Amino acid sequence: MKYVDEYRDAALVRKLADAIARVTTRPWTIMEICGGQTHAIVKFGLDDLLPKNITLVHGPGCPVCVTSADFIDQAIELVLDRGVILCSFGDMLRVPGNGIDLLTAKARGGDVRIVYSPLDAVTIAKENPARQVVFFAVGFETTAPANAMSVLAAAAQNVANFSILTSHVLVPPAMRAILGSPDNRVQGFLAAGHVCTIMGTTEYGPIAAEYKAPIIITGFEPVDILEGILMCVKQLESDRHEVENAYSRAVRTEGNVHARKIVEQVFEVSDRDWRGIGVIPRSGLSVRPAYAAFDASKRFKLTAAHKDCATECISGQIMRGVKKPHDCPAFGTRCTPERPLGAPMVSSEGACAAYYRYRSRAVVGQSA
Amino acid sequence: MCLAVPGKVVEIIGDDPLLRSAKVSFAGVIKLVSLTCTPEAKLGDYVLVHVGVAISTIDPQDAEETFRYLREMGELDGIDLPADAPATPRPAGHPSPEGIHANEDPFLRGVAQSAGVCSSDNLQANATAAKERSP
Repeated sequence: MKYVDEYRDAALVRKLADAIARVTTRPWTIMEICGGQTHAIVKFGLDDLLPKNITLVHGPGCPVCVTSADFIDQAIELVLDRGVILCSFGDMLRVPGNGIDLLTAKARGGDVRIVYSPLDAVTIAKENPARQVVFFAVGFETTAPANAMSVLAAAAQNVANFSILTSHVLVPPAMRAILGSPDNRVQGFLAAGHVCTIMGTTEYGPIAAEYKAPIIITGFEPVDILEGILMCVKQLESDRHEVENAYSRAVRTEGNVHARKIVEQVFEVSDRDWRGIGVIPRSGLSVRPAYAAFDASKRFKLTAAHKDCATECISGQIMRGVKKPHDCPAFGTRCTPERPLGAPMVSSEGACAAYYRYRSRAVVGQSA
Repeated sequence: MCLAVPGKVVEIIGDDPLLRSAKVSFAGVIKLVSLTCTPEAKLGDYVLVHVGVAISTIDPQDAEETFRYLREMGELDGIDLPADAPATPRPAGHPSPEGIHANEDPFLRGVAQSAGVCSSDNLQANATAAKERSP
């Protein structure tokens, strides 16, 4: 597969790992932001190729994992109490709310449908004019253009029975929250490549300068990730803290201006409650008042009653890079993909799911 | 969730900038993809597709950047890499002996089938893929 295979070349991977070993003289902790990167690292065993004094910790870049349980409760309320057709990406269905998950709501007769694209939900709305159709719009900046396009498409075609329940999150505020946390151990970042494909790289310069942390825009294949780590270690070793782009085939400095325009037309920046982390100011996107007719929270007058219940899940600490999945006493025993306590065990990009899938035989309580 | 998969534009449909879309081939699996965010995409271009939307075109020269960077570092000594490595696809069925390849990889194969998003079209597919992926 072009633009995939050549970035998985084993000889090149080994060369890069050797280069990282040669430049590393001190211990460093680097966080990859995106859950897709986490899965590639664990799946291909890239962390095992690194020198012992480089620690990779896994970031909050899994939108399914950080969507608050309250939002999932709202989606379940829409399905079971308001009778809507709820369209969602598949990953959201197994994530527990404060009570049940969407799959259970479906089993109880709720009309929950998995779609590939938000635009498919608009088509479902057109096919079911007598029903309300809500798309559960979660995601980072990468997904925001598609979700915004669904609103614009519904508006342009007068699909009045379509709306979106938005729980959009933004990466840069989360990076600031991690770096500014008292227990932070992250010294450098691999920034999420596809987020930067949309937004560009200019947001990261002030963060790198303020927190003296190198930020490398990084892709998702083994060669991409090791190249990002190499660039990050080189900066750390020479006490530099700049933004560098290791994913130039897909990321331009200005991002995708067409996509950004669409996002800015439909969404505005707002505060957002991150599951396991808490409210981060100006870290989310909400539907602008001009498109309130397509905002499910307005259309259905949903209330955001906060009732996140205490569990033994330590996903918040895992997503801030303070702990690793194996540090959780419930990992692999009371918390599994079949019966998850927290979202990172469910999502195809969650750190706990990655460790369960590829590292389940490692000793519990011993960081990998 | 931010997974995006590169695919080749094999047919462009419509010329209205807002509704322009394309048939995109992911290693032979064809999906309809919106080109609203990539008006510059042409027939034969590779685009990066996320949840049914092309979010970027891939410039072969940009793709060469990684390999040029590695060459400049001298890290490719001893590796027989063609000058246009990223732009030269391996023939189907002839993967390199050492690499890890998409068409052998159940996860990526699943991705290609669902064309670029973490959620598949149905739960059964998800369950099957998860089974394939489990240790």
